[in-house]
Amino acid sequence: MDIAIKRTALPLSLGQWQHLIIYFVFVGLFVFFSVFLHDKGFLEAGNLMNIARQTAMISIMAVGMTFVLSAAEIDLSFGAVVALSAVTVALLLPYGIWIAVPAALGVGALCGLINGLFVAKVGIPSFLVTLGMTGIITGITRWVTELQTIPVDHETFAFIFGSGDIGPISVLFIWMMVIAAGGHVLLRKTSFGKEVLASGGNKISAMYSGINVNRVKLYVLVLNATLAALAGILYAGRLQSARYTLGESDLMMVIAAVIIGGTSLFGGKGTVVGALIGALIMGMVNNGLVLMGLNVDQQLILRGIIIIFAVTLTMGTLRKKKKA
Amino acid sequence: MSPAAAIVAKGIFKQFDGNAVLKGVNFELAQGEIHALVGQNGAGKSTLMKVLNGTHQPDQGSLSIFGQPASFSSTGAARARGIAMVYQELSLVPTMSVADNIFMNNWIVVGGLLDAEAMRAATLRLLEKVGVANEISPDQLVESLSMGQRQLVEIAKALSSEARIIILDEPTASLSDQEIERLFVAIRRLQSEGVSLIYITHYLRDIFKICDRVSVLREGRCVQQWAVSETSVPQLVAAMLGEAVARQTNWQRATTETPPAATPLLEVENLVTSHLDEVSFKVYPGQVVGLAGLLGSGRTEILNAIFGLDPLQSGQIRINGRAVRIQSPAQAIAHGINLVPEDRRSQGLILDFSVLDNLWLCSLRQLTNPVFIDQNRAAEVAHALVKRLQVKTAGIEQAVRYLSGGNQQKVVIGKCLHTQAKILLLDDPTFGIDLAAKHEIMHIVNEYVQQGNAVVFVSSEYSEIASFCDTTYIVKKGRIAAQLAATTEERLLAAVQ
Ligand SMILES: Nc1ncnc2c1ncn2[C@@H]1O[C@H](COP(=O)(O)OP(=O)(O)OP(=O)(O)O)[C@@H](O)[C@H]1O
Ligand SMILES: [Mg+2]
Repeated sequence: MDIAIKRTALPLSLGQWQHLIIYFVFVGLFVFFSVFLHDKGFLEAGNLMNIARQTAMISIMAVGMTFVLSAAEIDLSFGAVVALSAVTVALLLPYGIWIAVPAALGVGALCGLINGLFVAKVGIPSFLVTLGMTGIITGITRWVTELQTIPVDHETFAFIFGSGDIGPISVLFIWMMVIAAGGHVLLRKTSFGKEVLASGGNKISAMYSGINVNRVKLYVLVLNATLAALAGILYAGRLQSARYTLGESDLMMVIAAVIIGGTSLFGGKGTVVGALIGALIMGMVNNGLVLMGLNVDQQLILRGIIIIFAVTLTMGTLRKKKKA
Repeated sequence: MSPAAAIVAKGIFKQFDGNAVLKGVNFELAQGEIHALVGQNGAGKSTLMKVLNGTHQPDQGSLSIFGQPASFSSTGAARARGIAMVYQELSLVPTMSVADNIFMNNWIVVGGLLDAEAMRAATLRLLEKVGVANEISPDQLVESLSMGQRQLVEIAKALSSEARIIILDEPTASLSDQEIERLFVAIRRLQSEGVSLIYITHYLRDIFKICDRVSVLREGRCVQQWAVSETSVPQLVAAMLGEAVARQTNWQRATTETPPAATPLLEVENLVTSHLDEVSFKVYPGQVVGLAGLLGSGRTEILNAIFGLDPLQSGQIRINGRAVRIQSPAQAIAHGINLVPEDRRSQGLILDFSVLDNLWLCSLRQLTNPVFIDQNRAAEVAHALVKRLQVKTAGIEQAVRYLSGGNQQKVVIGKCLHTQAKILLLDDPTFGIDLAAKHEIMHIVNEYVQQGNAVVFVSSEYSEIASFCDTTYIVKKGRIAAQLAATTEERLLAAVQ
């Protein structure tokens, strides 16, 4: 059959160009800060590695959230999991790293499993389940720690999980890249990734195609909570302490990073690389605003504006396409 | 010409992302006529209609409506000028009632509040007009309706705005002959009230029953126009394909008598579900078994029960003589059964996935070599299927959302075909597919059964069942009412009543 492949001179179609906007935003912001904050040391290697350090946990959580949103679910409880896992690892470190770290990851996975079972087996919307779980988990963390900060006094642990540097490179950067690469491969190259996107894109068609949609939902919620637990462990290692407030303010940053990156809030479209770039944009903006010498209130306002602006750019794509 | 034409479209160009779809279409709809528009899948029929009703804005070209120049920025603007359209892809909101859907955006309001009673009454009148008032209630949720019933509601909706021009884009695709007849009565009544209609269909025979003129669209150009009395089906087919000689499009499969010794590949015995009552039948290797019945007779429900979508209350399913328990589509597929569902958009496809990704969906596991998807093989398979099924697409990376209706249907069929299924359940598989491609699909299905596989075939087109199935069961009210060996369209028509 004759296939109408009449292409215009552009090597990429309009739709494809719009997918790349996020990268232009990233480069644009980078250039902007490099020029205007040059004398404040934005471009110095130390500062750049600082950005990576500050972004690592957000990126790791964003990888998990990419899977959750791609499957058309949501997880509001991951911030609470971060704190619980950090506290767990801090409390158990005296018994050894080999007990503390698996236990913290296990606690996270367990939270994800509870979320997942209620969503998949009972059929409650993930929004409600994870909202409820947030309360439960935070309550437990506060109760266990009696609102105290738990110190971490374990050099090896602190080195591997946050504070160490290998040459000029922070271990946090390595963690971030490893998780992002793993997430990217899982989403793009394996059948599980396709099943996640299919379940989010059209639950019914996915089911008709023989995909066990409920199991997919369960898995993404477990995956997300486990990655949140890893982020909690890294917070504990970097700060060398753990506190029930950790992760509290990450919700907006993580979801913003994922959406800016090009993952659809409504499922079916997801990109881990985009989420990573989104997280780096968030980290760069935070860093830039601090270097500019703005106070916390001003930072909050400007950050909100930049998020809405970036989302407008990337989501504008979606609206135009839907209309066509 | 005395009165101005209802629509005159001149030199319409439309492209999407650099793909030219309409390449200078000239089209005219006279007042009070029923004008058929035909063409292959992807010829641009729906796109042209969406230009006429304001969904798309043409890149070039001019429109005039009843002699007045027009350029529509939205469907609202077109509706204000009296143009209503029944989309090929149904646009009802499933979770709302029939009445709500019909008056969507056109609410009857009294003192700022909705007048539910008035809308109910008006809905009832409209449903009467399309002849389904005793079958569909205004308060019913659309999600409880079958595809065919939805199509009729969609038509009632178009009537509600008192349009002077009505565009019907494949309105009969999932209706069976009786329902089509009722629709024709409604269409003729509209015509006698002075409404002009455009009627898109792949059932060329219907054109001769109801239309006055016919235009043929091929690759974005209007290539021919005839008065219906001056043309014939072969001539139309030739014009659609752009070939001098019409290709053979009738298909008579050599039906076979069952070798009674063999065990049936699929046997269902006394199936009872919430929709079915004691349904039993057998399908032997190499056989195509047809299920014929009216809308809502239970044809689809039989397939759903076998595919694990409706829980069985009692009864048994046997594959190769062995009893199996199937509680989900995943289990059905594991047992070698696959289904081409009736609604491609909500059940068959992930619209935002590419053609490639949709084609693998049922066979992800097979294409995974231990961990990773074998992208090369997947692409190979996809290319072969696209070629074989004549899917018109900008490439296998194109999102299926942007394919024409018939081409989307081909993707659904392709997706189910290349799994390792031994038993295919086909629910109106050629819904919306043009004649040439239908022929090809029939070929493929025939080859498939000749390899010792089995097919259960549901269709709203009795001629298709009659010419293709080895044996046919008549379904009525969730029961098997009769079994007919080699049969004819006429006998089927009489039997399903
Ligand atoms: N929004 C869109 N974006 C990109 N391509 C599109 C879009 N809409 C239609 N097309 C392309 O335009 C071509 C014509 O599509 P159209 O829906 O008009 O075909 P059709 O004649 O109605 O076919 P069918 O008989 O299958 O319904 C197709 O190849 C399709 O892929
Ligand atoms: Mg069409």
